[in-house]
Amino acid sequence: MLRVALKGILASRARLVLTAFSVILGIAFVSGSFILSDTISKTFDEVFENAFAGTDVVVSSEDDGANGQPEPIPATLLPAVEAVDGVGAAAGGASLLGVVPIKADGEPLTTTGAPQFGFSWTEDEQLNPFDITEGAPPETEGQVAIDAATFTEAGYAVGDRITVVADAARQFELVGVVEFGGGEENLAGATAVLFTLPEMQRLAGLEGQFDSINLAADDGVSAGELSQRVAAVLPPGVQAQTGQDAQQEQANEITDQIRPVTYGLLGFAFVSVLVSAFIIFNTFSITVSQRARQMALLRAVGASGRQVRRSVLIEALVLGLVASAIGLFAGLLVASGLKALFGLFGADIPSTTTQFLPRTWIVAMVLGTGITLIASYLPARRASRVPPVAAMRDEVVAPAGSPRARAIGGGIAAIAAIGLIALSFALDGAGPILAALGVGALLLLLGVGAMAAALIAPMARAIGAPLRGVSGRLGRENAMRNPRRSAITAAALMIGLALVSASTVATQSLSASFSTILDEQFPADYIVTTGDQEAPFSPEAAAAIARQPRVGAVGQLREGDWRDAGGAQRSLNGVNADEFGQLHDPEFTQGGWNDLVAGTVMVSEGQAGSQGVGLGDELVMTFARAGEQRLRVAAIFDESIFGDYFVSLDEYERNYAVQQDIVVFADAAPGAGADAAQAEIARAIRPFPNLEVQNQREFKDEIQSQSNQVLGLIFVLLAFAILIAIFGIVNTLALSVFERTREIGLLRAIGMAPRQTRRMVMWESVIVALIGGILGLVVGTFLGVMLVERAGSPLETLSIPIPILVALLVLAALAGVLAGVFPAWRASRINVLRAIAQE
Amino acid sequence: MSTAANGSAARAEGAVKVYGEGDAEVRALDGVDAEFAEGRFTAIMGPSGSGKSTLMHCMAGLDSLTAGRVFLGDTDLTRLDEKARTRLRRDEVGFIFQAFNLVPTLTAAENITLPFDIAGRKPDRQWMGTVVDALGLGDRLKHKPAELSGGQQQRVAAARAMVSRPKIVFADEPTGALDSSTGAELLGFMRRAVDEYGQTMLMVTHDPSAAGFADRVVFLGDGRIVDEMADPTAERVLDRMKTLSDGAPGAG
Repeated sequence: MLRVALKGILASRARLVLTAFSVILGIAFVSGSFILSDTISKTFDEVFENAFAGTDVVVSSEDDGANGQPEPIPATLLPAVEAVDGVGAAAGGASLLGVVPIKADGEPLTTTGAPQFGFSWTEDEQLNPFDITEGAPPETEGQVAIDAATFTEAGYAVGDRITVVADAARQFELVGVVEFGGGEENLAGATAVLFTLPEMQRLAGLEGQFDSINLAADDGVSAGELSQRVAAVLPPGVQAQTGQDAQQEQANEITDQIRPVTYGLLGFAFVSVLVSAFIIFNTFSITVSQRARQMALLRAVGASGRQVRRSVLIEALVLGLVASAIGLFAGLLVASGLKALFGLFGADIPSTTTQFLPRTWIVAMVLGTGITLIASYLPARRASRVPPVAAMRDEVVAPAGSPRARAIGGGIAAIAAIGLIALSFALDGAGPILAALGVGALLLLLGVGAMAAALIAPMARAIGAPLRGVSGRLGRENAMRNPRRSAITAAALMIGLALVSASTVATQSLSASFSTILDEQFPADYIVTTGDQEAPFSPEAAAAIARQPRVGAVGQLREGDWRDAGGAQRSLNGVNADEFGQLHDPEFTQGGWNDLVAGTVMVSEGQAGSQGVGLGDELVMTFARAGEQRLRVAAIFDESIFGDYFVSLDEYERNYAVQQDIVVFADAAPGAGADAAQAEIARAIRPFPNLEVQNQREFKDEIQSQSNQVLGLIFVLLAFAILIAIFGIVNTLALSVFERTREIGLLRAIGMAPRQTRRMVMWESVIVALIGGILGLVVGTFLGVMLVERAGSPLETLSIPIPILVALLVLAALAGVLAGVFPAWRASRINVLRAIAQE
Repeated sequence: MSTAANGSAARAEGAVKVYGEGDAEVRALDGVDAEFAEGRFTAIMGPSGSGKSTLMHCMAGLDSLTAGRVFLGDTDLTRLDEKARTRLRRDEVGFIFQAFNLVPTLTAAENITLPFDIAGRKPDRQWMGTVVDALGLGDRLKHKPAELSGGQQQRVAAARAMVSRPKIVFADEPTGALDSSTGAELLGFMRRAVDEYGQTMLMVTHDPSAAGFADRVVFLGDGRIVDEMADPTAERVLDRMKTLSDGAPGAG
């Protein structure tokens, strides 16, 4: 029977190539997602490995402080730590974010998202992660070294006087070029400018403080042992970690950041695999029924039903294995394609050696082969039920399940799905809600897919109703003649389109909601940020803006981390309440901006409830630097886009070492022209080349364009699933055309032109695609609306973008046209004589 | 319906059809000259491989000759390209095949009017009514082929072949898949179409009793016309076939 199965594979190469293609595409996506995320993780692992090479123990603050950066530690710890027995070398270091070199041509050298560091130069060679490749290290104030990649890109020469923006734009002498230990030209796309330690401390406002102290152990003392000894001399809030732990921690932080991307990619990949499962199922169903006579013959000559079933499954196994293997390696292409794609959307991904881990092999092979076997099981079982006597009959049809039972099953699944989605409204916590919504969505898609067979006839009739010509009418009838086949083909396309339209509703609602919130809460005319970098910047900028005559209120916003009494990490905003308050309305329920002074905090209603505090109560807040503080609740507000806790700048300065703004907002002075005020702000921030000013409309446009970018990215990722579905239509139609050879021959014999034949197949393709498209749009829009409704704040404005949805429907029709080309061509090329002579 | 019974509806001149090359060469038609008169019912007979189906396919514009010419009326088919031959099949020719004559997704009525739909023209309702009545299909028009018996299906095919008033109807073993009484019924109708409406019919068959319904029988053997017979009966045809298969030369 093995030989029968293998001969079966060889006998129908074209069909198998098409089927294999759907598996290959799906698996390539899975494999590519793994490869890409493993490669990114590996890159950062290497970066941190290099950064901590030679460092045995790191002394740093336990908690983060201002703007998500580590809180500094006092420099006085250095002598205490140095004195610990077993410490061979010790060096304190300082750093600052948002340090921008100005290129030789005068333009700022900015990155698309990667951080721009300033570091202090470490004298001790063992503890210094950098190697000088050209020139010398910075030795006196006013000297800097720079990483090799930045050096090349900026067009510098050693000895140049260069401008670097730290707290403000300043001139430095470029004395050296560095490489990261291990020969890396830079830190995964980040830029690095190296100053002397005192200068770095001064620029960062860290006089008398370090970010961390790095230690090297004496020979014979282990890192673990040393960290314990050092920890004994440290004050509370400061920790001693081994170099390896610190490295692991930072690498994990990055991994946590890219995990959503990994999961997102894998999610899209699994959707593609699901769609290919539909295609496999359909192809095997069709070919089993086309080969029913052959199966019956095998049964008649003595093969058991089990053997027949096994021969189909062996065919599936071989197909699955070969396609998965090809898909696994095609994943390498997909990974670099995805990387380029992210680059296109403004997220450059650094990379090292491509990571092709055994896990990727195993998942790809097991998933690809498994899904092929599972999807072909039902058709195989049906094959085994072909009675031997069928070999003697004229018309042989493999027995099929009742479409009615299927529709009822699908209906039950759909109702259960809607129940699950409704249930999500009663659940709490992101995990269970997402699970209910996700499983509900999947179940709904499968349920509608199963019901689709019952919907094919009415939908095809409705869509095809305007068709008058014979080609259109025959195409419509052909789309209806095998509802199950058309249904599965359409369902495959439905899945892709459902997800596309759900994403469309979600992202468009998100940007619409944001726009509404801006209107309600946020009357500021202008917003100043570092754009994509989201890096903090010097308060000098706000001061410079405030000096402009045509500028009214100038609001400063800083972020900081703290822990509540329960030990949970939270973040707060430090604002200059008098002016910021004129620009942001969080809808106070008690108190107001005037009440926010040093020693007080204002809390959102929701958080006040969960912390169990009311107006006038004291809130216990623990800061990395200042320790436990008791702040009086001065005001309670309904809701703010910035967060749940606000303190005044005075209070912020008491609790955090680094004083940098993350956003500055401004209003035009009364009577000042809007454009004039914006021009003044632009002039005021000219010394800070990484800053940009946007007026409210530009800001909204940017939010809109960002959400469009996200949508674009989702479209591209779902294109895989849609492409597979298109292949499914091609495959099904080609098989149908083959099956109808005699009929098409007859039509040609009695005078149908090849063009009419092509059009007939084309219409069938378009009708099936449109059924899939309409079902997808309906289900997807429903899912999108449910998602938005369930998400609630800040997703409060539901936006159903009709033009995009209409465009998607047109896209579905075009997919049908595209899918119809090959089968239509095949149909028009059928040899009339051979077709009608076929017995 | 009177027609000039002596005009020629179709004719072949030195028709040669060769398949394959070299050793594998098969001369399916080896110089056939034949004329099929208007308003007559002609049967082409011969053993398997005699070239009778090939001759019909070439006469009907389904296949092209290697050499020689075929005419439909005054039109030289060998001069037409595929597009023109498709149009000619649509407008000037009717077909009845042995089986699978109908499009399963269409009703009987839709199958009958199919040539008009393909041409994008309105059928002649009155003539269609006449044909449908003659074939006794009046109460079957809304049925799909799967709901019709084999004989009914062939009658629908016959109606389709005639409804566009073609110059000639080609029937390829039209009764091959029918039992003898159903077959006779169909042949009876074809006979009446010739007698009452002047329809020209050309039928390929190997069944002597089917040939007995024709006005004239042409016998083919090895790609040539070996004999012919006017006003045949089933017995005479059977006798002649015996002689032919015994290898005796024919009179034609």
